[in-house]
Amino acid sequence: MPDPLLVTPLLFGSMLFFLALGVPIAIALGGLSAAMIYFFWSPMALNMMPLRAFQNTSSFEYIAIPLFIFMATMLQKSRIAEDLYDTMQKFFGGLRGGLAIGTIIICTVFAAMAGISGAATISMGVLAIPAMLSRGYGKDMALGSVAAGGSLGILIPPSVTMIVYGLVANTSIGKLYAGGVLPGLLIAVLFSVYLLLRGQLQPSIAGGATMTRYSLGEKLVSLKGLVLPLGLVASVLGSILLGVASVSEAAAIGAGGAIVAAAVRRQLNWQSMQESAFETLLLSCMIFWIIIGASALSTFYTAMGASRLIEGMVLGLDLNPYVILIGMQVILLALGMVLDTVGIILITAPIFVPIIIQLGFDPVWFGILYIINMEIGFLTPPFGYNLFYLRGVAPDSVSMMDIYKSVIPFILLMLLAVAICIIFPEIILYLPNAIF
Amino acid sequence: DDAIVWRIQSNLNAGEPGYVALQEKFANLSKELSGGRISFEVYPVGALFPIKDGLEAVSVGLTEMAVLTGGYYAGKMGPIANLESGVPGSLRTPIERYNFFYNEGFLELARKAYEAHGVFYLGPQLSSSWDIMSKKPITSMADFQGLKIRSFGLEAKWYESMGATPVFMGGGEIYTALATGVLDAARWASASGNQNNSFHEVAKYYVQPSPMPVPNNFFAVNQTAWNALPEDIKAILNQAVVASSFDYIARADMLDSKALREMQESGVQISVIPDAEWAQMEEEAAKLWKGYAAQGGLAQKGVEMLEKFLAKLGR
Amino acid sequence: MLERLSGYIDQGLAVIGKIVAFLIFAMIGVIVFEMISRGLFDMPSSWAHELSAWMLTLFILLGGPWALAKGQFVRVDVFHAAMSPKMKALIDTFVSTILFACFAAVLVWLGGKFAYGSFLIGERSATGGWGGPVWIAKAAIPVGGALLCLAWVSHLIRLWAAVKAEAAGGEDNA
Ligand code: NA
Ligand code: NA
Repeated sequence: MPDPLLVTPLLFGSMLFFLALGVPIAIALGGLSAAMIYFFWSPMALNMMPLRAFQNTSSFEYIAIPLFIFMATMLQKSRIAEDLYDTMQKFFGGLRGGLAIGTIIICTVFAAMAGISGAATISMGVLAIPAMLSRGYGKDMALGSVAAGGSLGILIPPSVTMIVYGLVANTSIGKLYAGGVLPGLLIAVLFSVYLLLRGQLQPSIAGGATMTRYSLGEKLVSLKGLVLPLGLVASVLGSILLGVASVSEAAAIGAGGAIVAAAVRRQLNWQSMQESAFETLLLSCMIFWIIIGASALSTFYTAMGASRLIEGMVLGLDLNPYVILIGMQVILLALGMVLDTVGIILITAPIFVPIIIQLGFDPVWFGILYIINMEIGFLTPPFGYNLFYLRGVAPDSVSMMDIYKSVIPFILLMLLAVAICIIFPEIILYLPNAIF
Repeated sequence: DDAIVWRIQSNLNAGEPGYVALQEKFANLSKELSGGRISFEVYPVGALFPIKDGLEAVSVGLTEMAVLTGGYYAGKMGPIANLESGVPGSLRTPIERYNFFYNEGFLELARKAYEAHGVFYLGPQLSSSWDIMSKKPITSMADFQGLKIRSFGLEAKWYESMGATPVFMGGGEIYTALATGVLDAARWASASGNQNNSFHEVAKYYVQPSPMPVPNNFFAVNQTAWNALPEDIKAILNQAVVASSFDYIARADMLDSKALREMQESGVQISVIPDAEWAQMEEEAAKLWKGYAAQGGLAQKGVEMLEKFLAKLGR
Repeated sequence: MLERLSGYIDQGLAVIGKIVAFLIFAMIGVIVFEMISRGLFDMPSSWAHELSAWMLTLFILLGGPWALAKGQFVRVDVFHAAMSPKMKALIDTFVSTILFACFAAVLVWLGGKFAYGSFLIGERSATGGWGGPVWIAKAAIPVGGALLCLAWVSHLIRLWAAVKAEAAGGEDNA
């Protein structure tokens, strides 16, 4: 068996090299995995790649991705998204950064409708980025708030990632769900405060030079722009909470509901349906082909004994429980920069959780910290799903560098949230202890 | 330096009793008995390939070995795969199941069935029961009427024949679906497995008897890798499989009693279907798998073998 | 000549992509049907989840080549954006193509064996009870991989055409 200490720098070094050269991400990941598997694992093991390709594209849980993208493109083409941002403009227009905060709020609601992260990020990318850019918001604020807000999907229940963690860690899923709520809100609030401050300090990128205040009458009239989006949210959430739909199925309510909403808005026509379908296909392909490559890469890394490597690192740490805890966070952050969530959980959770329990920490508490780390991983360069998704939806005027820069403050805020939750564990544990 | 190192993917998560049994009583034991000539790296379920395509994975040598679940392969192999992983309304204890495989000749039949798919069937991994947890009490056949229960394959047909509404759903969705009421019930693992999935938080009735009291997974080996082994190591692996099976049953038994007690303390009630009613239900199930005989071939042989053994047991 | 070939390829891929794009309506329809049938009539289907998941496979694997041809396979363009067309063409021709070949070969060859094996044994759905033929969805892997190769060839042709055009434009300016 090859030494993971040898494979690690080679794998991630070449990954960084090819990504930096500008090789299409899916092709860089897929091709590199194939070559590495051939030389370091076995030619037979290459068969893993079609198996993973089929698994990832035929997973019912992932079907929410195209469905929510379709919902978003439909809402955009039927101008419902415009109406929604117009309403927000009327109410928060006088507030520098108000639309970005509105975006964070919508992302938070979106997080409650989906169990996976990609769906919210890309849908909000379709809806919110053009709406914000056209209303005098800088790239920085528009991109950052969508990328960061979109990552809340796995922290606010329902969450497929929590279920995966719960199984590996033998931890209550109900407690994890409950534990994610307050930290999720805390992060949303931190983001909002930051956007507000940024808006005050840099008005030019938060609503443009002129700010208009609107009369009460105008505000009230604009409220009709909320009716359709709220109706849609109510149907998706309602179908889940009333037991009509499973979490994945509910996305179809969102997609079908968007068609109905477009009809109500008298904007339903064959052309917009067709264009939405095409755009959905193109964006979904962008996402899934990266997932296919990334899952091959993390499977390869798993098979090369990544777990043994990580285990050695953790066991080599100081005996102080908090040093070990922080060491684990650092490892998760580092892995989050180069690997996908599923791979990180498979590699680290079976090692970390028993140690955490042995040290006397609460596995639910640790689980939430873990999930926040996974969220940060969606945002950290060079490999971050949300960064790539934004690259796929953002206009051509936006470069990858813009995206990388835009998320840095939000990553720092999420690290701050991790620190707050370590210092005040009650933020995580209050609800689980109160409910269960 | 010519030590053999094999990768095994388990059908379970690290730390679960079947995983520990695989690690300790198969991997470690084989290594020790062979004087280190063979050793194993054990990976949790899904780490290297999806279990649904596990037959392909092992047959092409993606890993040399894996623990797989026959029920997933009925679509590739026909009903012999269902018979191999266990059918409701038949055997009741792990000992019966062991005898069926090792002393009644079913092991040879299973080997023949899997050989056609490039997989050497080393042996069954006898497993703890697969039980039903429900949001409503179930104490009779009539209680299945309109019950939305997560299940698939032969079992789904069985519940449907009693008026239930079987729903297929992946593992990641069951908890939330039970919580919101998309599902009324789910047939999943034994008590410790169900507790691990937190089902007791959202489904307060534990149904007994178990619909699948003695299911099994199995140890699949890549045929080429198997053929290349020296005879003495083959013999060691053949015995280690049995040790691992019984170790799993024993570990699970301890954990299951504890899990059931803890779930009861947290408000779960045991919902018992009376013996007479249960016997009638099992008859319904038996009708379904006896129907497999009509397909001829290995399935027919398997049904005949099972019926013959049940007759010996006086059932 | 070559550019015309590239045009034909792109058109063909667009036709296929646009056809599978309409599967999104089928996915919505099948899932909504399942919810109504289960929720209102207690009649869940054994096929809805699997059928919609297999449609997703076709959607992604057969639509992917069109997405690649349309430049939807995103890149980290931190350095790439600033490169000259010639540099971009050189990188894609000599670096990306090697990686692409490794990736596509696995999808076409091993994915083909995977799908063909499924076809030979007449593999059916095991979980749904409806016995749907899974090999159709699996066949999308090699077919998608092969179409992806066409998309890549067309992409390279267009890249070099752009280099030529720029060179020509440069001479005009000179
Ligand atoms: Na969520
Ligand atoms: Na990252």
